[in-house]
Amino acid sequence: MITDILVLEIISLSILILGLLVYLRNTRSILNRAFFALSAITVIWNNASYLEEVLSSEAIISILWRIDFGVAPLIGFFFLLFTFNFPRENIKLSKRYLIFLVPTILIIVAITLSTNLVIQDVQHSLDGIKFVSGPLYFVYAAVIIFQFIWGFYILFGKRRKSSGIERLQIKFVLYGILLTSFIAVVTNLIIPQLSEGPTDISKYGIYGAVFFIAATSYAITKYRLMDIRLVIRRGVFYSGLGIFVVGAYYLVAWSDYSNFGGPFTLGALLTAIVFAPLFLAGFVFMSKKLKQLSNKYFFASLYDYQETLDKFSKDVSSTINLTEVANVVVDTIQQTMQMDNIGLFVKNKHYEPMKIIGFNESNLTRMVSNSRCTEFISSLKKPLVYDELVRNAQDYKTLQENIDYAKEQLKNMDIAIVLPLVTKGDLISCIILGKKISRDAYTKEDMRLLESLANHAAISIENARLYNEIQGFNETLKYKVDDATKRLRELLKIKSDFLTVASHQLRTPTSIVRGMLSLVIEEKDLPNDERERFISQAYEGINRLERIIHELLNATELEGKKMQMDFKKVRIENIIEEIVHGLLPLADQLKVKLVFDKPVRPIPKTLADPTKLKEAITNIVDNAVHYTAGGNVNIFARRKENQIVIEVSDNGIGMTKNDLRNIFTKFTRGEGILQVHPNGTGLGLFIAKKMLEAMGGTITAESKGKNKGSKFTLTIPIK
Amino acid sequence: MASKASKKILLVEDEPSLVSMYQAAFRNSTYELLVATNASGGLKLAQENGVSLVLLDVIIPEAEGKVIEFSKRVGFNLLGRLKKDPKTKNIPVITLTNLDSPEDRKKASSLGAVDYLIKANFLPKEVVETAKKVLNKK
Repeated sequence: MITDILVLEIISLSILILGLLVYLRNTRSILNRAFFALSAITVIWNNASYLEEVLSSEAIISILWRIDFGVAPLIGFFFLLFTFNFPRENIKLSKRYLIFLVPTILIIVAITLSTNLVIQDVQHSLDGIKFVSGPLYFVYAAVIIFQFIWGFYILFGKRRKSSGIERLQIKFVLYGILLTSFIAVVTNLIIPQLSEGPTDISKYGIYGAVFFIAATSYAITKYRLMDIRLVIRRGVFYSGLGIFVVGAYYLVAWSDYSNFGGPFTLGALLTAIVFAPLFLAGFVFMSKKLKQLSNKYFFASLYDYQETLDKFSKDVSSTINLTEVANVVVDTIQQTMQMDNIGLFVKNKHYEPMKIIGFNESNLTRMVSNSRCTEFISSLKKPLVYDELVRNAQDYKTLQENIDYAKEQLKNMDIAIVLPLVTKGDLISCIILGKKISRDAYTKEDMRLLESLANHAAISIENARLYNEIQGFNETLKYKVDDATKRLRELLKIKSDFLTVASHQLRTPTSIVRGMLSLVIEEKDLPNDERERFISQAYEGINRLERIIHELLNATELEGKKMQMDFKKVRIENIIEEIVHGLLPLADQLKVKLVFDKPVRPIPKTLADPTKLKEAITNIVDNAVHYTAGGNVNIFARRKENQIVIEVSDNGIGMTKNDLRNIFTKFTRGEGILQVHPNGTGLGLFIAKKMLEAMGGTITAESKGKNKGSKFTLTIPIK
Repeated sequence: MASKASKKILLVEDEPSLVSMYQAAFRNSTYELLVATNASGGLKLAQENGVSLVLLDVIIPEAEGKVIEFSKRVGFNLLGRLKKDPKTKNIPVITLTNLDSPEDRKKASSLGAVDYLIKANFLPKEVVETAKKVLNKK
């Protein structure tokens, strides 16, 4: 029996404390008050229901059973009131039903207590008491059962309609109460009426309450039911400390008495000097540990507002690196407020993810980059809390459809807060926060801290970004300077190469002329044929010199400025004929057969610079002749659509792939041509190409390889 | 005075007119003029014929039929090879060229050339004189 009573009182006490805590949390809320009333009355009923079985005094029992049966309908009543307002108050609904509920219940209670229509008789026996039911017993039982069924119906309905945390809260409360009441109803209303059932089963109805306590406590802890965790946390903290203080007191008292006989003896006072600092240290240590413990199990905020801000300012301003700043911001927020998912975006043209934890990065980025979300986020001037968005959509100055879209997106990704970071009126970054691990809502204090952090962070991020930009500029600048320097060096080299070659090319014929003439002048007894040879070679040298000077000047002119063109109407065939005529002596000398394949149909006249055109074509034909000793050079001209095509083909020494690559650059001569045409400067083809291009034409070269001849193709537009 | 045995002088020069010019100039001297028109030919002649002096053009092709590349200064390359080869390293070399820059002059002397003559500035007769002077000094 002692154990029964102990269990009963422990359970009663727990229920009472639970109800009290809930009431203290919010004394004005109907929900909290109904819960408290429910708990209190349940405790009363439990005690009455148990005691009436075990006590023997008839007078007391007659009071007890009246309490038992009188209070039971009230339990149902307060249970209903609880379900009307759980998890959110619904005063209208409550008032509507209370109007007929209250009188009904009062009447039932009155009838039960003052008449014997419900309980006809109470029989005392050795095993306890037995109730004999009256005619209205079933009405009585039906009302109570009906109340509970209605309450559960409401709870089930609410559970179905809710989601997330609420749903979980409802689930636990529901099952806790369900189980408890089921056991209570069965053991009190049903089994006793069965003739074969044990009669004292009703006292075990109390044990069902264990389920209720367990379920509710769990829901409170994990799902913030009734939000009394703060109260519990403080309770745990202070009671723990209290136990410590009391324990320390008893320790000292015991020591004083057993060692020194009393607390005011010399020995006791001396040891007090030792105990005092020990106690202090222990106290400080205990309070810290208890704080940690209660925080850990009740998931309350761990942070000290000012300390967090100070540390954050220090950390964030210690770096100019954007990634590090992002890390500090995200880590501080996450550690302070304990959420699983957090993401920081920096806005350049688009939102770029800097650090994402928990969220699926691509999904989050996609959501943020969606134009509707971008527009909405960019218009935020203060933090956006999802719950507030749901409640006060009209406060936001954005298109309704954007808001709806954003709402949906935020809900899908379980986002609780969107925090804009704004400097100088522009949004430069945003932080997306998921729900806290503890499922707590973000408190006002949290929001204030977040806003402070956001302001600090905005400045740091902006600085880091600017710094990055400057770095970028520096690099670009350095790169451009390096590039320009390289180019300059190249140009200088080209110039110095050109000068080297030019001076060499000019000096060579000069040395020939001077040398030859000096021999003629100096040697008195020079044979005649030799003298003539030397003189003609001197003459040849001067000609060569003239040609080289001409080519060099042409090439220099062509280098920079546009060529001066003197456009006249020209007939190509005439020009080619002149060229062939002029080169015939050379061709004869080199045993080259030079032929112009004149087109049958005359080619129309075209606008071109006749002198330059002649020089260009001459260079090409001259080359061909020089490099085709003993072979054939054919010139072919025809009209092709709006262009004139001239082909100069030979079966001479041809060109290698290497030659073809370099043929039109300055100062390159093909391989193996040295013995053949040593007088070339290597500029001829370069000049020809430049001239043709200035007239809008083109020139290309082909060759099947060494000693397999070459073909030069020129095109001139018909204008 | 110089010995009557004709000393051989090697002329490495690719320009035909200049070759004939120098040949005519050296005709009246006691020296036999050997001619090479490219670097490999020049090296061979120097190794096999016991020449006493080399007149070296710098802008020459490496071998017959090869293209002349100004930037390569093939003549200097040949000069280096001559000075490395024990058979030829003691033969004095006069650079005979139309390149005139401090870098080229320095290069020639660092490679061991005894003199540097600009063709355009020296008449053939003067070249012969210089050659004589160098050979007599030996």
